[in-house]
Amino acid sequence: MKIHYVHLRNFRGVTDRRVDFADSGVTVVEGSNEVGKTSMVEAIDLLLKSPDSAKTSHVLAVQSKGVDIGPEVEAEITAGQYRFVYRKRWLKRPETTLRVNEPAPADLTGREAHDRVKQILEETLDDGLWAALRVEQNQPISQSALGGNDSLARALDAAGGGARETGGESTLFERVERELEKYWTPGGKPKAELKAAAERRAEAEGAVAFAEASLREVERDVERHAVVARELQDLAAGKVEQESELGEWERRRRDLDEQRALVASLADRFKAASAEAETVAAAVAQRRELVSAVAAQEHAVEATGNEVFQVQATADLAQGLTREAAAALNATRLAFDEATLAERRAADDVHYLRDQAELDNLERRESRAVEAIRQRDSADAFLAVCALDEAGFAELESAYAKRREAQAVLEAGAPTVALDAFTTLDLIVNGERTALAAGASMRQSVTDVLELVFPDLAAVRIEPGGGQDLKQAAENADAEYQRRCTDLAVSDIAEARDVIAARRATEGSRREAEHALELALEGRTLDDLRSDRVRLSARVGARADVGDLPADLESATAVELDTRAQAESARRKLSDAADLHQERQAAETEAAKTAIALSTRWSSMQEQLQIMREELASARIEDTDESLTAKLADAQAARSDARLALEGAEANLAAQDPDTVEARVAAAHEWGSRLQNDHDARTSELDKLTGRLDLAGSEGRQDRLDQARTAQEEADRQYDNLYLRANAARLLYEKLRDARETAKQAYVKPFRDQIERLGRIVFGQSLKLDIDSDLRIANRTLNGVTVGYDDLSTGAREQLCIVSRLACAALIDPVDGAPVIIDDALGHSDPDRLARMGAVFAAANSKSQIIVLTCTPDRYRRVGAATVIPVQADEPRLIKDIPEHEASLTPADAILTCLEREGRQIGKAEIIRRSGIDDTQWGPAIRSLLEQEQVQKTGDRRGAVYSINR
Amino acid sequence: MRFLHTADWQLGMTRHFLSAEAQARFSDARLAAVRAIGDLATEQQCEFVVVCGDVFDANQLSPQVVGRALEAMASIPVPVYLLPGNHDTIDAGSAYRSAAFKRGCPDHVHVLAEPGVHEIAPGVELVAAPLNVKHPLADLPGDQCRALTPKPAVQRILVGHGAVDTLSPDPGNPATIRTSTLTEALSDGRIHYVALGDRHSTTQVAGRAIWYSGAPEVTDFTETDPGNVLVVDLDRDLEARVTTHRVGTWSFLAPERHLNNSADVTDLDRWLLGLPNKDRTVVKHRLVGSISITDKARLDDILAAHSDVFASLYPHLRRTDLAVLPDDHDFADLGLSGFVATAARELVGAAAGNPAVQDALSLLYRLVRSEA
Repeated sequence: MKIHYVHLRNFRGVTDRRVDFADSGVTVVEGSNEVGKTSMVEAIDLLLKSPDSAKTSHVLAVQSKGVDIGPEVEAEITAGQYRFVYRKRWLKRPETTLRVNEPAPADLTGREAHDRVKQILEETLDDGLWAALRVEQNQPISQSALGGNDSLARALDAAGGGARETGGESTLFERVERELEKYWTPGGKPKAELKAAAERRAEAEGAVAFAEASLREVERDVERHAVVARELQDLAAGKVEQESELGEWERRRRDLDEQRALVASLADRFKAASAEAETVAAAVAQRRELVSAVAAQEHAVEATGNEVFQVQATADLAQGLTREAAAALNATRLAFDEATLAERRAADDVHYLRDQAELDNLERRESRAVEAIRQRDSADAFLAVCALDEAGFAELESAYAKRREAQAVLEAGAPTVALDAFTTLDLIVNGERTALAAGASMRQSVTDVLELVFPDLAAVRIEPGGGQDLKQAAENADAEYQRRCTDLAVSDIAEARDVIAARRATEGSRREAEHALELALEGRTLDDLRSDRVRLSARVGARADVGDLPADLESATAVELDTRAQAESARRKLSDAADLHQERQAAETEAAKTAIALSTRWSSMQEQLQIMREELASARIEDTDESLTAKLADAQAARSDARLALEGAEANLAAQDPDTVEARVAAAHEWGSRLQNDHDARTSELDKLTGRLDLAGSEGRQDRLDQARTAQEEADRQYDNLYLRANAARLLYEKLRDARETAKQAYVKPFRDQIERLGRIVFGQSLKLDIDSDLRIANRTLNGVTVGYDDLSTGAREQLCIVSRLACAALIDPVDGAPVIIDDALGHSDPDRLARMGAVFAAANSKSQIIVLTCTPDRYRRVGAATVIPVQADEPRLIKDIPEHEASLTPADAILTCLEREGRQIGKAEIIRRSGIDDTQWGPAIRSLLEQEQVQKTGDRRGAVYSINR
Repeated sequence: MRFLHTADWQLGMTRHFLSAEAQARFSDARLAAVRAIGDLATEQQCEFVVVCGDVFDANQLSPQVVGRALEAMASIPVPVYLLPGNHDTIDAGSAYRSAAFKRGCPDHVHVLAEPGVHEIAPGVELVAAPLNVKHPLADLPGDQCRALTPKPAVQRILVGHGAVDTLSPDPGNPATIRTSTLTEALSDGRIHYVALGDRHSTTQVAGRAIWYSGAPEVTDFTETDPGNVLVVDLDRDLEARVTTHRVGTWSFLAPERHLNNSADVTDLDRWLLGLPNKDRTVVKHRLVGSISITDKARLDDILAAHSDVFASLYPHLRRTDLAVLPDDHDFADLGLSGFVATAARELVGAAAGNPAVQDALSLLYRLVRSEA
């Protein structure tokens, strides 16, 4: 399709403008913003799509503001073989005119014209391509969906010779895919049906194997049965052979047994002869022994008899010795008794003399003690009446001293009165008459009131002024002294001193008496002394004979010592004599015992000898020594004969090899029992086999195997069929898939070549692009670096978009194609890229139209051979109002327009209000729309709502 | 003297290519054949029936199979002599020794378990050569012949089971029956007829009175003349007279069909349509050749339609060699375009000798066609 010119009237801001486009190559339409460049594109769309009666939002939107004239568009277009001028006015006085110039001139108007153009476009214009080749100003730049475009596809087909895919092909491919999916998973694994078939096959195979095995079991049993039966026969034959062999060897063994019996009897005979010989030999030996024993005994009796005599002599000697010792002992005992008596007598004398001396002593001490006691008692009597003791005396002394002291103090402090008498003076001093010779003087210390009366003359009274206290103290001390004297029953200190001296003398005398008493008593009492004296006195008095007493104690003691020594000596002698006697007695007893024992033995030996002699005698009566010797020689000869006979028989037996015979008999027996065992085992096995076979015979194992085989055949067949089908599906699918991919690649190639050719101008020689089967750029490779399309910069994406559209325009036959319209793109490209893009426009070398709308002409300055059309805004013109009703739609169209605009379900009242029809028009209009099914009614009566029926 | 010679009943046989329902009918048919033998024996006034081995297909059969077989034999009005063959050897596990057999065996049914001469009627002796192992190590019938001496006024029938050397020369097999031994015995009058089993097709051996009766009901595709029993007339001093009687009702076919164009496919369809007794017919087809995808699709439809009617209709997989190669029309008519056409072209290029690719093409064809 080509657009030769577009003429707009009252279209948005454009009052009247015609733009002519170059028939081929680039047309750049320059103009500032809002001058109406985009409106031109919109106008063409509206002209081609919207009937003049349309009141859609698109139509309403292009109405010029402030004028009451309908927007109008006219264009001259070549589409395929057709070239026509087409004009439309909307809203106000809608109108459509069409003048077809080629191939055959024709004029059409109204709906007819609209339909004709629609038909022409359907015939010639690829609608998708028309949309795809546009880069619109108000849309984000993106890759166009070129994949579905027939024109491009045709072009690519033509260029690459490839076959593009038809709908039928796609459907078929899907069917094959479905067929594949029946059998295989996406991963290429068998699906349930195939798997189940394989499992069934395996199961059937297993069942056959099982049935075969069970049948084979029977076959084996049958074979074994035959083998065992044959073996039993063989065993029976073996048994016969074994029995004959056994018979032969047992016969030979019986012969041997006879031989053995002979040997045994001969051995018995030999044994008996041996025994006899031994018995006789023993008897001979016994006789010899007896004879020699008698001789020996006789000799022994004789020797013992001698011995007995000797021992008896010894015993007698010992008896004599004992008697001597007894006599000596008696003599010694008498001497001892005498000595002992003398010793006792001397001791008595000593005692007596000692007692006498002691008695004297006691008497002396007693008299001394009595004297001491008398002295002590007289002292005690004095002391008992004497009141003064040492303590009292000391206190009296002290009181006396204190009295003297107080007197002295009183006198020292008192005034002294000195009276010097010139005449004799009689005077009374304190009431006491005193005469004082002339010239004498009296000195008196005034310790108390001193009253000096001079009879008839005067009385002088002197008072000791302040010495009253001292005086009192002196008085007190005196009182104390006096009291003590009284207490101690003395008149004064001097008497007291005498008394105390007497006391001290008496006390000394008493102590002396005590001491003397102690000495006399020697720790004992007087009574003790007296009783001792009485006792001793009695003892001394008891001795009658005092005539031959020794002179004194000393000589008595010497006598005593002498007698004691003699007694001791006598005692020693006595002891020695007793010991000797005892010793002799023991020796005598021993000798007697020995003599008795030996004599007893001797007599028993004699008895023994007698017995032996008798024994020998009786034995000799039975057998004489000579006959015994003859018997022995006979027995020994008989034994030799028996041995020779036995040895002969034994040699004979050995010569017949009895071991071999025994071994053969045993072997034959073993053979027999083995045969029997084998026979038993085989018989039992045969029974078992028969039992098993009987059982198997009732099972029909062959039938089972046949059934299993049939089932296996069926399972195999099913699996094979299924597998073949599955395989065919896979093979076909893979083949189709590969072919499809190859076809797609072949189909894409010219397009990719073209884009790459143009793209290299912008991006350089290393550019490589991946184009997917929808003809979209998947990724861009530059200098070996591959980047996904979506990850490219906005500028690069924009450039690639325009490049791909220009490539498209370059590929497509202009008659087939549509103009490439680029509305102010390349806003994201830098000056260098812009310059390169300019070259791309030129290089595209398009025979199709390329229309570039721009408000920045600089962007496209580098596009070489471009037709440039500047566009300016024109002054709005006032156009006379067109009566409203002339432009109005039919009520039905008004309802449709309204519903279309609202795009939702709305009620009657709202439709009337929004579409501008009146109530009377509603009924017929909506009925006809419902009848034609252009409008759909939902709900009923007042709830009814309406919408466009799509 | 007239008797009926049959063999290889193979009772209890299972055929894997039969569905459960068809298998049941097949088993019934085999029992029916036994009853038919009884009817024939009556009709032909046979004095007894001799079954030359493989009465049972195996020894380890279920008691039901054995029981029903005996039940069918009970309907035969004359004595029946059963020879153990290689499928029903007389061993410890033999079906003849099973509890089911002992329980159900009618009085007039006898097992020739012991080798040697059995006098079954005055002047009539059966010389039995039963098998007690699957693979005997001797020519059992030959051994029997050698042990015999001619006996005047006695008709002797040698009853054996196995392959004869003239039909399957197998020098390595010691069990192979030497025909010469049999002919000599026939010639010098030790025996008068040799009743054999093992071969399922009715066959006379060496032009003499040596016969395989064949199986009374077909058992395999390789059999050339199954489904018969023999009625034998044996008269003193005369060669045995043998007449063949059909009792079998099933047929197993293994046709090899060459398919190279659309017409061949149509012919196959017609041929299948024309076969009688389809419910008792098993077809194991061997299709060879090379056809287009379109024709293959048609062939599949045809086979699917017929297999509902036949007892079994299935491919002999090993012997089937049918290449499905797309021709110019297959995809051209479908109007493939674009990558689909490219893929189809590549697949077509790789299709020859590659069944997987052929399958893939068929799938493509099916999907495109069903879409169209």
